[in-house]
Amino acid sequence: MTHRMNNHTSRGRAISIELEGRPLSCFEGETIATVLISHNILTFRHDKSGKPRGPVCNMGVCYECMVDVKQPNGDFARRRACMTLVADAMSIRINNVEKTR
Amino acid sequence: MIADHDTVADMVIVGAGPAGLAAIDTLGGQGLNIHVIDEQHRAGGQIYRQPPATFRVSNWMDGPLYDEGKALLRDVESRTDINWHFGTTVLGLFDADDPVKQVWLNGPDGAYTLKTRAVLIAPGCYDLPVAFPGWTLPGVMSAGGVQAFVKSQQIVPGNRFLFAGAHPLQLIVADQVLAAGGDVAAVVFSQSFREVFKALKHMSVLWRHQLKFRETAKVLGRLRKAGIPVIFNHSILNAEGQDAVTGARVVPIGEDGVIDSARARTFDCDRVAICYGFLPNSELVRQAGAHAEWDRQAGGWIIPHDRDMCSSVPDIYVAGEITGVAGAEVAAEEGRLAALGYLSRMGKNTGDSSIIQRRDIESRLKSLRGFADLLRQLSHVPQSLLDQLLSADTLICRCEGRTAADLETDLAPSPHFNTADGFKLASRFGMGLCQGRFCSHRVTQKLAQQSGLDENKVGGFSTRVPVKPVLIGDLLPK
Ligand code: FES
Repeated sequence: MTHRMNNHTSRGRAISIELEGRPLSCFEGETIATVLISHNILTFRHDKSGKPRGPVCNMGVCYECMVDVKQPNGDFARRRACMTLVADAMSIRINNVEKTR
Repeated sequence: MIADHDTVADMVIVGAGPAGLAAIDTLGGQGLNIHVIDEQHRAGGQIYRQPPATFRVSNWMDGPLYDEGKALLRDVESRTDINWHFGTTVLGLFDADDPVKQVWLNGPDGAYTLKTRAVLIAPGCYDLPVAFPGWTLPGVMSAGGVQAFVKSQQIVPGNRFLFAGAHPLQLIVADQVLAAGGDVAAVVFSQSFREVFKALKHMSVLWRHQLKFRETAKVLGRLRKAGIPVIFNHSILNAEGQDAVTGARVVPIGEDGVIDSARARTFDCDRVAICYGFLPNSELVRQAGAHAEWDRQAGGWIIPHDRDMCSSVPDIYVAGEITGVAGAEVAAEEGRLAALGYLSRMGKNTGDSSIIQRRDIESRLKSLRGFADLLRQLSHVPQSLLDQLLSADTLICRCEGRTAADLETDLAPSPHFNTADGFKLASRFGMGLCQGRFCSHRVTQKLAQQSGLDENKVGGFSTRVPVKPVLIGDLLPK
């Protein structure tokens, strides 16, 4: 199973983020990518033909991990899930099927 | 833009990996105004990618290979005379040719600029993208990405991994996954064992770098003991699954280098980790106007430099993988050399000790580059193999959804395409969010092959500001 390694590791404060209404437990210091994968969510977005895509590089290069993160003003901003740290009560969206141009 | 700093920095270092850290170590404590930029949230780069500050990890990167690097990281990270900018992306360099340059950044609070007299660009590398049917399925990742999940985020990002590639790093990552409680279906190398053996006949290199070979042998031993097949002379054929990876097919490569699809066997796995080598992050330094040269074996576009590690643009220094992918130790030595070169040009630290220091570094570099060369030979992948992995509908440009067949058809009516930029305009290859990082390597080689021109003539996709995408909202004052 996808799992957090616990034998030698203690994590930050336990917090929770929200994915389209669904609460996801996580820890301070984790990236959005880590949290999604740890909850067995591997599809981070859909391409123009509606096919699922997930993180590839985990280092900010491929842009396959883009998710929508709710901003203080209520708008959603697209961020790289592998580069963005979670914060308590953060709200994210993945079902943002890209509009064709 | 917000919070523009008005003072002019002496040096902006892009990348806090081994090269950047070594440069900081050399430059620190001399009263210089130094800023360090990194997209990650802590120093270390990919090789020493640290767990978040909120984590405690008692066995982080244990082992004799990492002790020196970890010590340097600890020393440098605790420096208080450095202005750190973490979680920050460099969008571009303006006025690169002028004595005062502008570095345009996007940090956690939005975009801003820094003025500086010199820049050291040490941005490291990323895993070479290799396209095959199913490579866009969620669950196909780069081996480097998998490793970063394990060592930094302390998760095993899957259940059962199949590793496929040509670079020995995949052995290390497979071992780490196993030790962390994950499962490994197989580790598949495209080169034959004979080729590996042939490359290893350079006994002098073997002897000088025996620690690395010994550690790799230990890893191999552990994988064998765990019953993990390590298979040579085979290639991944495709990844299978509907919404995510459920398996992967692996095929033998014939004497003639041709893969034999009829003899494919299927491995159950929910992750495929790809490990064929690395490409340098050369976009920023090319955007700044530095001359780049094509060297496929060294990772594609690499940046020539003088003895002080200065690129063709005055006061823009380079170190690490963008001078040719050669690993962390070479990067650190080059970072030191760049720092010493900068200091001597500033009229500081020009005495005998500096000359001796530089001579020592250069002699260490010679030995280390011998090892890097061996590693390149060892992990060489013929382009003909990568070409065989494509089927007509395999995506080459993942962002814009352009396939292998599109590459052929877009090229067919215009045999006159002879620059990557021209082809990009006509075809949309490379126009997506990754800005060509995942397809330009192949497009450039394809165009070179088709036109009969050198890759240096064909060029890569031009890199422009912003060298990484930025939201309009991040540019607006908050
Ligand atoms: S996984 Fe590649 S940018 Fe996030």
